[in-house]
Amino acid sequence: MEGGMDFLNCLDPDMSVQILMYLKDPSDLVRVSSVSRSWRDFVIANGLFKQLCLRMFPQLSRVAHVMELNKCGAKEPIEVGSSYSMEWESLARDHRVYATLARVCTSFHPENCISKAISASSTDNYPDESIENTLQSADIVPLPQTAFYWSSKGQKNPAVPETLIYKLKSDFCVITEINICPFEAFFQPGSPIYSAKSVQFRMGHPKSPNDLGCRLMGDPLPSADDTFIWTYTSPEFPMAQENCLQKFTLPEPVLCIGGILQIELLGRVQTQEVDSLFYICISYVQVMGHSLSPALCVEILEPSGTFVLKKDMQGKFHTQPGLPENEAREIPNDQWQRRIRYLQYFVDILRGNANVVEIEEYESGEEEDEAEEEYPL
Amino acid sequence: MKFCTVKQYFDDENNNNVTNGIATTVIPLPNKHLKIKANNKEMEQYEQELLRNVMPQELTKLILAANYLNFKEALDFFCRTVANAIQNKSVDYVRKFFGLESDFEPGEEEKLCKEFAWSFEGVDED
Repeated sequence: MEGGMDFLNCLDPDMSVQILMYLKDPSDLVRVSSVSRSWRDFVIANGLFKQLCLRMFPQLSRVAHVMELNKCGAKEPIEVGSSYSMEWESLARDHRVYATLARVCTSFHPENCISKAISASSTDNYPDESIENTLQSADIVPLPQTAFYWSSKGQKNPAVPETLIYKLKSDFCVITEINICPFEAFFQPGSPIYSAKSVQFRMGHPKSPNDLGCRLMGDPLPSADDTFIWTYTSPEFPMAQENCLQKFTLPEPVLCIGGILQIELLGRVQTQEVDSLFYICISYVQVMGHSLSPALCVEILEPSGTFVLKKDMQGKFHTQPGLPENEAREIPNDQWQRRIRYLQYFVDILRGNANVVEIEEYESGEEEDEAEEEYPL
Repeated sequence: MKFCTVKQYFDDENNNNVTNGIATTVIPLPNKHLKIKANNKEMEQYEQELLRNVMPQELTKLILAANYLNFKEALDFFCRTVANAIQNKSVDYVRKFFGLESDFEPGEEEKLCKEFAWSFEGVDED
């Protein structure tokens, strides 16, 4: 009894789709489409890869269509074919692009995807305590007993939240976790840790791409909700009042379409002794994931707000671990400025110009600052 | 409520959809499910056993039977079993499992393998 075993033939399509949708690994689905022509056609006709991607990443629901760029070799049909063949070609294209997307999003080495800081909702003592300081881990900064952190302005009401907004390496990244290290003010009595009660993340894109271009880092954006459209909001994670790199793993990997990530710090827990105001201070932020560009990218069409998912046929994916930070790459302008600031600070210490605490290593020990309270906060 | 179709089946003499052999596998399932619902590990073992005893061609019939009997849990279970059976297996294994032949042109399959080279690594041994 031939054909009795091939469930694609025996069962109705919905049921066959149900079976194949239990396959979570994109490789399984590819192998299924390699079994025979009818199986391949079934997978394409029912858009199984698209369905798989939509289930993994609901953020893709706004994708209106896909495109393949720089496709060499295959000639695009110039004449208008039958509507059936056009539709088939469109389904086949979906199949190829979504298969690639599923593949890259399920096999990568996570790396820090932050490119630069955009703004903080408030900053105390700009620029010394600006959001820029959260981009470098304390390990990388070689200066002893120095503190690089962002501080919010003080508030009487501990319920006032703060937000930090970052730009990621590309407009299309898959993000798995965010790591945050709250700041411990070692120079204040009791070494208070200025963490928040809890934290929440949003990802999205700017409403108008040009807005971000020219503004001062110190100015908070008029209203984050007016400037950005968020396509993902995470659950709220409790934050510990501990001076360590706290990992906030997202329940599922998320596609950040538009390259903008916001950290919302909810609830303040620590007052500063001198003014009894509540502050939040963060020393380091990392956003772990992988950039999907340039091989895959998303164009956001205004004003509809729909997306076009594009695959560059000649683009390469980097599935090996990325280069270590600060090495062998062209260093962007703001990183140079940051390094110059660090160096300047270092020089100031040597000259005894800066307010520092306990620099035993240097001869200018007598220049040590007398009171901790003078440290800017 | 699950068994109104079953009752109908027994009443209906000219029933070709569900042969007796299949019925004996499907119908005891609800009791089995209830007994081992709480214990996932046992369920897995039961699944493995079922897979060993039931030939692939029967799985399809089991699915049809469960569907006809309107028995959702069994249906989900069998569908999942089919998927698990072909997970991380090579293309040849899947073909053998379902008794299928490749109908690709000689060059076509190679092209697929090349385009999706990443999916053909690391499969289970047959």
